[in-house]
Amino acid sequence: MKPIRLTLLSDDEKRIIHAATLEVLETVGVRVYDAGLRDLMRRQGARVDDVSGDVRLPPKVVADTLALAPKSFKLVSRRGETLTIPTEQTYVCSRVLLPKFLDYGASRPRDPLSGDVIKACQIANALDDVNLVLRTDAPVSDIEASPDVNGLLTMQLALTYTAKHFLCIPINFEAMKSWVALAEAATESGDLAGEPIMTLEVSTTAPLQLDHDSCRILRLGAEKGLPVMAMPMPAGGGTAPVTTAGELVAMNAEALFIIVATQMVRPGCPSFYGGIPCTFDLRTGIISLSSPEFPLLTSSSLEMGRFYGLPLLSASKYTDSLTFDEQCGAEKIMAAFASMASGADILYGNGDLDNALVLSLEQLIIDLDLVLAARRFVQGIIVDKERLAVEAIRRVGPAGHYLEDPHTMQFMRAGERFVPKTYNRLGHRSTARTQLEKAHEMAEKIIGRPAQPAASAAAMKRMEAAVARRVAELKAIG
Amino acid sequence: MKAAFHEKILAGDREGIEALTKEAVGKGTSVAKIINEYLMPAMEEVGRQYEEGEMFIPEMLMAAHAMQAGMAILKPLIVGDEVKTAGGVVIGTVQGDLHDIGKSLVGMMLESAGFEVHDLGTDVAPARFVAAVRDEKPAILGLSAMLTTTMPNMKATIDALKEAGLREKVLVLVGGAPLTSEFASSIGADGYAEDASSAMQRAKALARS
Repeated sequence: MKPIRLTLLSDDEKRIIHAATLEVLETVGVRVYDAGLRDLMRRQGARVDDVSGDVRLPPKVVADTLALAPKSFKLVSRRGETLTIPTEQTYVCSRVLLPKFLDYGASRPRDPLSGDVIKACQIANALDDVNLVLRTDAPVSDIEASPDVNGLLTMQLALTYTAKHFLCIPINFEAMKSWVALAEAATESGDLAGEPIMTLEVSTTAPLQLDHDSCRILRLGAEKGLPVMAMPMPAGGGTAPVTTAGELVAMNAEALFIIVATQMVRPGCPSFYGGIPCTFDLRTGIISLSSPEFPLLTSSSLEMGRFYGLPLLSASKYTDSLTFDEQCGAEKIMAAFASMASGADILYGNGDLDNALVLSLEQLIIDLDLVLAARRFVQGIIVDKERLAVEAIRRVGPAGHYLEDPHTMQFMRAGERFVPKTYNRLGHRSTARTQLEKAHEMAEKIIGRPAQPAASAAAMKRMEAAVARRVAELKAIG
Repeated sequence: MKAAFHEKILAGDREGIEALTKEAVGKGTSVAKIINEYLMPAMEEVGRQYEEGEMFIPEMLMAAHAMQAGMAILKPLIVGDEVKTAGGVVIGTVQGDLHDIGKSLVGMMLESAGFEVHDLGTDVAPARFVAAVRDEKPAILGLSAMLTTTMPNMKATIDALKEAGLREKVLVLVGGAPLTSEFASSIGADGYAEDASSAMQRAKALARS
């Protein structure tokens, strides 16, 4: 039995969207703010306007270059796990840092501290269903250093306290260089292409721009052989067309452009197709990472990614809500279900509140439960002789029960029934009144234990040396 | 005539406002009357409908463009100080940041509220802000940032103003999705706006202060 797959677009519609995308890439192109990347793409068939910086891609160049992107590859963690891409189960990604942190019981978020990074690592380590962690660039307030050094030291903390595979979103080039230096130091070989412990996100600035730092980040990442995830973030109505089909074309064009550029830098570089299809709310002016259009467009874009045969990454556990409320739950479960039912290989956005600005440990735990619930649905019903259980029905007969039947023993832990971690199934006997309280109890239990480094002593020593080198380099460039 | 202006502004009818403005000028209506009694009340109604959620941003922008079309005809006819502007504003997205839409929206709303807006665009270095403050002498400087990594460039811009001896000459208003009022205070800004509408309100309040 294959997992359930949503099909929102017919084959004809996918071809039409693809054709519209090619037209955009050929006639409008993407403005590339880095002459080096423009030259590199020009040498491989792109048409470049050096005055505007616009890079246009003929359809044949798109087709030939996309064909270089591998259909499958492996990611690894430093604790010996291999994540095979593509997968049918969707790997789940936790968070270690966002610009704000919400404490349990607090009404407003605060600036994050280095201890929060360690706690988020402890949560990720403790939950077996978390396969990867995501690092966004944001300073912690208790490390007094320049933003670049702050980012370097918090990455060292994260790589010390969790050995899971890292997805990283460096927003400037110096952060990228720091994180690559640390990741190389964290591996035994120092070769990130051979030991891919880190995946890099590259995003456009919609509409249709690749800023200077993103160009350099893409080039360095691809040159190192890091898997690259293309994550454009258009906002329909503001930085993309207001129609969902139009936003899909714009986002598809930006995602394909990033993947084409990546393949031009390093043919065969592992690449994920993804996107964050926002809404520019034309009534309030905010950019929404939620609402029904988000999962609708996420699912549609993942279908387009599958149409190209590319591995798929989805960032769809967002909420516009500021806190743990009904809106938050409704938005997150809908998005999680849509992404997983559309075959995302990796899902991130867990633990987020307030449009990916705020991290909560409790939300990390709740989100994992939502993901596992969605995964259970997507796995569908396996119909085979054993699971039809006619023998068991015969054994128990009328008026009996299945509690001690061998068939129950065989399948009760085999994924047939979802076992929630935070849902209340004890009724009034539960010590926690709400799901949030339950998640808090779990979080306290996990972070109440002393944090243990996940990196080896040798890796920590190498990272210390890498930090010293990078601090000196950053000091030299001011 | 007031009703006609009202209708055309709310409909975002640029050509209609141009024709009406020319007609009013031709009939000898004073510039001050056209602005203060016809155009501004209509824009205030636009603002009210937006705040109530009845009007969407594109409709508000169309109305503002219609207002600007009328103002373009009237400005050369203004004599002395018969029409007071709300003040000058320089706006821009800080260095390293290409995000344009929020900043442009603020600029449009400020213009429709009677401010004279000088938009420096995106990825604006502190030195360019300093030069614009020196040259344009605005009452308010509006800084926009959409990325957590470009937010520090707001402080760099304010520091550059201090170094140039211009900090006390201009009020600094900051905004952008990742910002908070605490951050605005910490970098020494005079005001923080969470969206374009509140930016206009804050600018009005700052201009009065």
